[in-house]
This record gives sequence, C-alpha cells and structure tokens, in this order.
Amino acid sequence: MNDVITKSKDVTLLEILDRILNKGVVIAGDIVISVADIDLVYLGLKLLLSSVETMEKYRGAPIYSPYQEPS
Amino acid sequence: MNDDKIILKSESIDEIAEELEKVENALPNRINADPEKVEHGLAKLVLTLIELIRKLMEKQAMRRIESDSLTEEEIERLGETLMKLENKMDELKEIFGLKDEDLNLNLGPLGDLM
Amino acid sequence: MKNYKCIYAILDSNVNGSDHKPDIMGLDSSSVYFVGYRNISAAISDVNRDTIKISSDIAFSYEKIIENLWVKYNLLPMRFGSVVKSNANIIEILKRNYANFIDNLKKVENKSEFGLKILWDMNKTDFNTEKTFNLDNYKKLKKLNKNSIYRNYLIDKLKQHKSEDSFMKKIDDIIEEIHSPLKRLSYLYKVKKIVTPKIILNATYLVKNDMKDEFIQKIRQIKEEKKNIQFLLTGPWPSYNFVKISIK
Repeated sequence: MNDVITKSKDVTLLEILDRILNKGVVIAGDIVISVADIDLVYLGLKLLLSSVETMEKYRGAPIYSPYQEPS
Repeated sequence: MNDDKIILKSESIDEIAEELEKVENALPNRINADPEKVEHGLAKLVLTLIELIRKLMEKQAMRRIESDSLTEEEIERLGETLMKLENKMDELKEIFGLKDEDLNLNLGPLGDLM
Repeated sequence: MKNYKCIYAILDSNVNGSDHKPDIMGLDSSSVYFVGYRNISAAISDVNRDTIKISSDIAFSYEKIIENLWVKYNLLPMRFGSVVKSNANIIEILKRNYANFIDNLKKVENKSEFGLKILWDMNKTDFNTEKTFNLDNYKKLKKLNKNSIYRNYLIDKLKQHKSEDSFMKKIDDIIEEIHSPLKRLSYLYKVKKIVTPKIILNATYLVKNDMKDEFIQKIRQIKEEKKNIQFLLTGPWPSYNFVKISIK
C-alpha cells in the first residue's frame, strides 16, 4: 500500500516539475536577476526523467542553486 | 495536495517513469570536464548521428526496392552496401562499448522517418 | 536578507491593497502579496535568493501556492525562478506586457489543464508480418541467386521495415481513436507522439470548467474500452502549458 502511495507521489512530482520548470510564463531580459535558465531547464528535464527510485534522493534535500556568485 | 492530482491511472504507473528514463538516455549529456568521459560522450553522440543516417538510408533503400525502380544488379549492390554498413556499425559499437539502447534517439516529430 | 521578489502568477484583477491580502505563505516564510497595474496584478513574496533552488519540497510548495491563488483568481502561472529586485520592476513587467497578459488571461479563464500520458506495449503485439510478407511482390529481388547473402539480408530487412510500418500505422490509429473524442471536448490541446517501444502519447488539454466532468468521464470510458493500453491522467492544473509566453 505504501509503495503505491510513494509512486503516486513521485509521478505527481514529475508532473509538477515538468510544469514549473519548463512551462508557464517566462521573464526574459535584464530586469530579472540572472537565473540560469538553461541549467534550470536541463535540471528540470533530468529530474523529470529520473526513475522512481532515484527520486528518493531528491526528497527534501536542496540540490541546486541556479545563481552563480558574481566573480 | 500530494497525489490528488492523479485522476486516473492504470496498474503500473511506475512503467511510465521507466519509459521516461529511456527517453532520457537519448538526450545529450552535459559536457563533462573529465577527458575520458568527454571522449565517451562524443563517441556516443557521433555514433548516434551515424546510426540515424544509416537507418534513414536503409529506409530509403527499402522504398526504392518497393518502387521497383532498380535493376537486379542494383538491388544486389544495395544489399551488399547496407549489410556492410550495418556490420561496420556493429564493430564501432563494440569498440566503444555502446549498445543499441545507448544510441536510441527519441526523434519526436522525426519519429515518422524511422 | 529577503531582498528579492519571487513572482508566482499574474492575476486577472487588480487586488492591490491590504484588504485583498491573501492568507498564503510564500516560499521563504513571508506572506504572498499583490502588486497591481490597471486591472491585473502579480502575486509575489519576498525571498532570500538562496531559497529559489529546486528540490521536491520546494516544488510541491511552489505548486501549492499557485493552486491556492487559483482557488480565488484566474491566473497565469509563472515559471519557477521568476525573481526580480523590486516592486518597480514588477510594475514595469506588467506594463510592458499588459496586452499579452490580458489576452492570455482571457484565454485561460474558467478553464483547467489536464495531462494525459498513454503507454502501449508494442513488444506484446504480434503483427503477423511473417505470414503477410509475400516475396512474389518483389520480383527482381526474388530472382536473385537464392544463396546470395545480400538477397537474404534484404528480405529480412524488408520484413523488418514492413513490421515497423504496421507498428507506426497502428500507433497513429490508436492515437486518433483516443485523441479525437477528447479534442472535441477541449478548448485547446497539445499532442506529442513519442515513439519508444512503449510510450506513445503525451497530451495536454485545456478544458472549460463546465466540461471537466464530461472530459474525465470520456477518458474513463476510453480506458475501459482499451484494456491493453495504460493511461495516466493528471489534473486539474492551472494552465502552464497554454501560457508558454516569453515576456520582456
């Protein structure tokens, strides 16, 4: 039973990530602080396509900051 | 809100995650600084492209045979060329330790060409 | 220091002002509030820039914030990571893209998005190509020396390609059978055919709210009829897939 719930949650997460990382309204231009769009999208795709098992790794743990400190 | 976004699902929804993972293997990997990995990544990319071209040529050849526009000699030569190409491809795959799945491309709209 | 503003959505009304403050917590434990321009607003909250990094918890939180707003307002969801420095920036964005926002808000008003993924295991289907393949149709090929390895190679290849052609045709037929009735029940749709041995369709539909039940019912019905195909239907979602606009 737990297994089914876990997998449902993982599938929902994949669906959410696809939407919030790859879709929706995008702001371009210098008015926005530079968010590494390409990295976000790439990361989004990678997370989206992770297998159900590896989703466990990302649960709760921040893994990536899109901002680069200015050098 | 967790899983109440799923309205309808068939028994094995984890299969979908597995399938998506296969599609992932077709996406180009991030450029890696590690030289060994770079080589392998490039080999995979190059071979994937060659394989794509080979498959397109094969498809084209089948169409020509179907259209009956070739002579017997031409057909025989075509068979020889295609077979040698495929064998060469198998050799290259072995050398770089790549399998068919590694070179599988999700072509999206181009899928119809295959 | 929470000196950045994270934008969650563009709303269909000017709900500036303290009496419209929603009781929603933003990503960095600061309340969501609104910044308006004419008859639209942006829903934002103050954040620390380090907060805006993706994780499963943050993904769920971000979606939840948008869904909570969606209960009350027609909106355009923002892509994750839409961050600016000041309220002035926000007003600038609303101003520059006003017409675009108005058009899109109108488009998605009173509608919800549904995602449908379909899998069909082709490996479990036999196409009978062995039996249907007739070498007589290929006279010249047939005439070649029976011992020629190239002749036999070509025959195998032809069979393989014929099988693939049947496969592609079958997929198109199935997609048509499933998508046609759904097309009619939706306002807008996006359909992507993905061909691997299993997955075949990734579709999103924008459905009017008063058609939601009928839409879902239709899919249930199709699922019942097509027992050898797997379905995953998710939703209702705010219209992420139908507002993919890049703004200045």
